[in-house]
Amino acid sequence: MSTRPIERIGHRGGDKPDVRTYNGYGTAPSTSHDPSSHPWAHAAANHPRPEGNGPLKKPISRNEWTTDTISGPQSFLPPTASMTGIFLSAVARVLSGASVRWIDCQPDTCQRVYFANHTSHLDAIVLWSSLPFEVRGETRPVAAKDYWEKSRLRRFFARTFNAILIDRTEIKVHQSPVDVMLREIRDRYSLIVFPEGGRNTGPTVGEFKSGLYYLCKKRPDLELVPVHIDNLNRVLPRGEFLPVPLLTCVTFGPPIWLEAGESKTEFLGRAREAVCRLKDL
Amino acid sequence: MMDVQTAIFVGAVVAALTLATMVGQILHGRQDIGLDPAVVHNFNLRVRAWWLMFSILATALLMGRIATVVIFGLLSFQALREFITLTPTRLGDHRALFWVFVLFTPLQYVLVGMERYGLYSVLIPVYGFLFVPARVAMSGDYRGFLKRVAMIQSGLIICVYCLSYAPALLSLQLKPLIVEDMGNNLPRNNAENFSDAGQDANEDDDSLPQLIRQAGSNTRLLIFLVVIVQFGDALQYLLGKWIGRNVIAESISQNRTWEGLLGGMAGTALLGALLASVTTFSVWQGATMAIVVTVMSFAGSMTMSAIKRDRGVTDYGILVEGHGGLLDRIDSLCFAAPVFFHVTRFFFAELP
Repeated sequence: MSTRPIERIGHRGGDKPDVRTYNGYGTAPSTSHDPSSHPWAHAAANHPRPEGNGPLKKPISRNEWTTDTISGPQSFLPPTASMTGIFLSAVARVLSGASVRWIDCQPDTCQRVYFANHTSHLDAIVLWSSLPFEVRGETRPVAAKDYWEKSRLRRFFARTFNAILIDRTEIKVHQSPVDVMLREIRDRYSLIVFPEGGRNTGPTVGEFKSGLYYLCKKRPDLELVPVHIDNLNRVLPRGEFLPVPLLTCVTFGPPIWLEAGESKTEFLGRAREAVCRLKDL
Repeated sequence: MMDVQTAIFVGAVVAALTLATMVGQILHGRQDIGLDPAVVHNFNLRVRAWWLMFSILATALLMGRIATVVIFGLLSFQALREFITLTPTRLGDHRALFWVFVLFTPLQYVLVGMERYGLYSVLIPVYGFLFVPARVAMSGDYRGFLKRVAMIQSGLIICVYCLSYAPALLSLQLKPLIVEDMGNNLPRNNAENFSDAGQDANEDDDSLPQLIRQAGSNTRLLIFLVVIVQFGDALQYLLGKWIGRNVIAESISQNRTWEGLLGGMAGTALLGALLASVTTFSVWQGATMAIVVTVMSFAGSMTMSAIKRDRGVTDYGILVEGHGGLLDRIDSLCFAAPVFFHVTRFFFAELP
């Protein structure tokens, strides 16, 4: 497995204008990369996080034992580092028997968009759980508000995983899902999205919706990491509520970016292909 | 706590493993003596898997019968996961699979733990066998029906039913030994012969002294089975590589040869005769049992290889890097355990 250093947008040559015109939360993505260091420690060091005034409703407890591994003594622990989060991700890992593979890609706390095929309700949870602890706290799945706010239990899950809930029923002009996501992640969080829009019944990957394209049009600095989730549709298929504990496989692939002058169709096709090819690797 | 004989047996296995590790390392370092590096590599992987397997087994046996049953139950669960993951089931099988995993697998081991031979010997072959097709039919998907049902039934039988006979060995009431050529078997009546601690404590209180005395020999019987299976596997592989000419089924396994099988039977018969002194077998009985076990474990690995070839994979899983899945390691034990159990039960145990 190659360990290609992750390219940053500032290093990608002059072929592409740097169009980071987002909300002015300011720190540029890190510019140095030392592959010899801890795989994601450098990102934490070069990537100061704004504190307070975030999307979090309640104060977060401090926890000493992780502070110096990830974000220095000054920062808050990610909200998802709660015991519930640790417990639920352990349950998800055991239940899905997920073997995690990183192919030409390394875990990193830099801002990323993980985009994956969607076949099961467990997708977001399993993908989130298969990230390393430090990365997990900085990564927020995007989920449908109408589903995840329906009951108390679902709201609890959504809060544990720090999900960004998107209202699918009333999409407003100033509140497009992409805007909501960008506002919520600021310059800190990574996203987990399922660009197919809904769950697929079969093992094939459906056509991608355009949200992914607009997302990286507005934030071209985000690394787009393709993820293929294999066999999870058999663990909990659409329409079933009892899981069968089969073995699944989560594969992270090499990041892609929106190329200069690439059309929407081209880009979405390329992104879909990036997910599909991971199945056979 | 272990009785003296079991401790000696475990010590001997550990010594043999240490020797195997050393030989493997020496051969690994010396590529000049004309051995196939792939064979040496395979051998070293096996040795590492043996260490893992044997430490799990020894820990389980030290903790008592119930702990052993629980650990084998977990092994079955993981093996069944690997098996079903590889088989192409359909959406209509989902509910049947759910019950296979959450009802039949645990129930089988609960019954083994409760020593209900009359129930655990029929639960899966009868009730599971009938339940699976009925539940699949209720889903309304008839495409490839018989094939799908057979796949689930095979998985359940091989990974759960057959393997559960290994811990079931611990609850056999072995006949008292016929002492003729086994002078070194005397510590059997020794007060040091101590049954397992922990969960068994309550059972021991109201059971007869003979049962306590026999607990140690059941433990040795299980270790005997595992040792013979693993030794036979490795021997067949090595002999097949060295002197093997006549491959049994080329399309399924290149490594399985008639020479390997016969040589493996001869080699394990020797080992079985050697180890007979720690079991309830006489020398000839030990040798015969070892041959039976080797033939069955050969059958097991052939069968599971055939399934793997059909699915186009080399291993059942990636549980431990470089070792394949769990099922790759225990396939031969799955086939050997029920036959070993039944032969032992029929000839060497007091039937109720």
